[in-house]
Amino acid sequence: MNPTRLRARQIERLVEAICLTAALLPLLMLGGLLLDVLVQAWPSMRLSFLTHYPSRAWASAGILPGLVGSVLVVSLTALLAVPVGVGAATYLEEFAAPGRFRRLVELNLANLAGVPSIVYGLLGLALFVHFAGLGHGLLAGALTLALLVLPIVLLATREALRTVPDSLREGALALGATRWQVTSRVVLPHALPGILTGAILGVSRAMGETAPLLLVGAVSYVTFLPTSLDSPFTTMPVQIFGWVSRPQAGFSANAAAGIVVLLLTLTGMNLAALVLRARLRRDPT
Amino acid sequence: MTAPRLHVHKLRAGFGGKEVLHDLELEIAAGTVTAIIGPSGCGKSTFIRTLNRMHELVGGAWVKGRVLLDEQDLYASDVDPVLLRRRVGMVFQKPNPFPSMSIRDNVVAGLRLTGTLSRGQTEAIAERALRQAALWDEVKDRLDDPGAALSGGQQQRLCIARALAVDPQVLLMDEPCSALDPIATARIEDLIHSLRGRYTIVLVTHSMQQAARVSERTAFLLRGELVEVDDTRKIFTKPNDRRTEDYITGRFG
Amino acid sequence: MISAHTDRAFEGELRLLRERLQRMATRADEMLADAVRALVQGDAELARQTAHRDRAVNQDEVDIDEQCLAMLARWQPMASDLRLIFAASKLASNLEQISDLAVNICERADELATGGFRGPYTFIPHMSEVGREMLRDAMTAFLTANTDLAQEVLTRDDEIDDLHHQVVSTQTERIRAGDIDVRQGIAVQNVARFLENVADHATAIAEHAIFMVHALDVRHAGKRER
Repeated sequence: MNPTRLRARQIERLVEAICLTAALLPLLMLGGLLLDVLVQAWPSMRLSFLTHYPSRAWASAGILPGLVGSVLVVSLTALLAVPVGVGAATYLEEFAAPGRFRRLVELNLANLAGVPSIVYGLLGLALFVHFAGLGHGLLAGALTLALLVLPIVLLATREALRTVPDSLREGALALGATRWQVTSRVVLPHALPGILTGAILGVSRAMGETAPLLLVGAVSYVTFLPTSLDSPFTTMPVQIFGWVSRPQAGFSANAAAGIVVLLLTLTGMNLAALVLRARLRRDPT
Repeated sequence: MTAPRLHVHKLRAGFGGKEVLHDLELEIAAGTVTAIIGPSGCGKSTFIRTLNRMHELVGGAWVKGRVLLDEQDLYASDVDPVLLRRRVGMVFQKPNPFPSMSIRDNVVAGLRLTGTLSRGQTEAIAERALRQAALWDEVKDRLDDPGAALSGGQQQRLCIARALAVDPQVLLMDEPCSALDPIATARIEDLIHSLRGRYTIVLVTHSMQQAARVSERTAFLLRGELVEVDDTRKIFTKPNDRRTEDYITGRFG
Repeated sequence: MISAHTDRAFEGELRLLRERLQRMATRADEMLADAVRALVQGDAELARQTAHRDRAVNQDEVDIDEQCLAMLARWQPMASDLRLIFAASKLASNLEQISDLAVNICERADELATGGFRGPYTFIPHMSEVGREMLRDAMTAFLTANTDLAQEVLTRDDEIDDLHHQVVSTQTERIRAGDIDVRQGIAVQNVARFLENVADHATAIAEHAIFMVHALDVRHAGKRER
């Protein structure tokens, strides 16, 4: 083999090795982190952790209000953010004429997705809690998170809509369908898997948020479950945050166990999304 | 319903400040196959899209002049382009069956999309359109299979069936065979021959041989101008215009 | 005049086809000249040699037809190219038949020379000159797309017809006068008919030239419309 070919091959191997390392590194870090959390959480890992309310004694404390709160807040958030996000993206992609207005909106969307979550918290506090007078309740929290999640859902939906080939739109239009018929019967069904992925991604983000909720009024020590939209509430991250700030070692075990529950919930949601997507792909009608 | 004639009068079209079609004047007789040939970028596709008002769907697109379908001007203010497109069907370069729909659903998609499909009609309409598109025998046992599972040539015939199911009077075909192999192409051409008379067909094609094979009239477009339109036999044996001659003999330059 | 084809291989094929036609026409023309020379000079040997050159012309026809067929299949030519190739194949057939006529003349020349016949061949050399000129002009008209020249060839057909009649009546007169043997007289009349046929083929070639340029079939049109 001539020397240049040999050199080219060596370089190729080197690049391959670097890329492999880059791919493995985050996996290893994640694995290490998980292991660390599991070890720390071990003392608190018991079934009653899921069914108990917080307590001054770490050993009898549980994450129930956080779990229920998280599920409720996140469901509400999804209910608010997904339709609005999908609708807005559909309008921008399928109906709005390209022009200065659309460009302006798109630019702002990209910016919104990058705004720190604490800013949303402040916005939520001013807008929902004080101005709209919703109080420090479940709804105010969900609305705030919905604001945060909206750009994510919107951008993901937009990307999903952009993957729908124009040939399908043209095919439907040429058959004498209206814009709305094309969008609702052809474009959206085709983009649905992508839209769902975006929605789950956004909602997962909401699941992990703490700061904006703390601002809007979630409290870490709640000994009852929310009963109405303006009930005081807590979520898992907020509860974990509360435990972490306690000095006793037992509470940090609780915090670690909380993280495990949070991660499991997220994994569960992602898995559900995966299954849903696969099923939609297979049988989209 | 009988096939209408088309009369293109002083047609100009373009995008923004750019004029793509300059003052086209063209008469298309009822029930004939007319081929539009010309080099890439000559405005063939733009032209065919002005005939079902698909052109105006692109941002900044504009049209001036008239296109008469029998006596009706397609660009009159009281014409709804959506309804017009049910009378003027279109088949595209790349077969574009709806991937999420079965073969049967693809065929009736036009009717279903527009909400004009009444229950119980589906089977009959699907069969009629598939037979017309010479696809029935190949798919009658698997109407529930996804449309995307068919071969390229079958997909294209499925798209033709889909266009025919809406019961149009005019069929526009924009390079319908450019993605197909010669056998699939021959099937489509055979199909075009069988549709002649019932529909007025306008075919854009890159293949002069195809134009020569399937059309009765051929129009040669060059840089948005209609250089020559004549009987296909005449165009391919003795065109009048020097530019047509140069183009079809490959002396373009 | 005609701009070059984008596909240079096709352009090369077209050039080759024209060259082959020209070469074949030259061969046929020379055979004709030698056949008439052998006749007039009573050279039986030359007549026999000339007749053998028929094979080369036959081969030319086969080659040209094969090439035309291949070009049609490979390039599917259109318009003027299509007409050129279509006409070329017919031209080859005309030229081949001219060479057959030359062979016929050679046979008569051989027969007459061996029989001791020494003429006179009144009008025959002139007829041959006119026929060959028509052939050459028709070929030039075809290869240079010169329809004026082709029209000129068409008008000369009458000239050849007149000459033919004169040969026939002259020879009939001689037979009647007992100057020549009946069979020999008829042989000379045959030669005149062959030469007339040569002119017919030249006329056909001129008509192909007009068809090639104007896509106008003048073969069965009346003289006035020509």
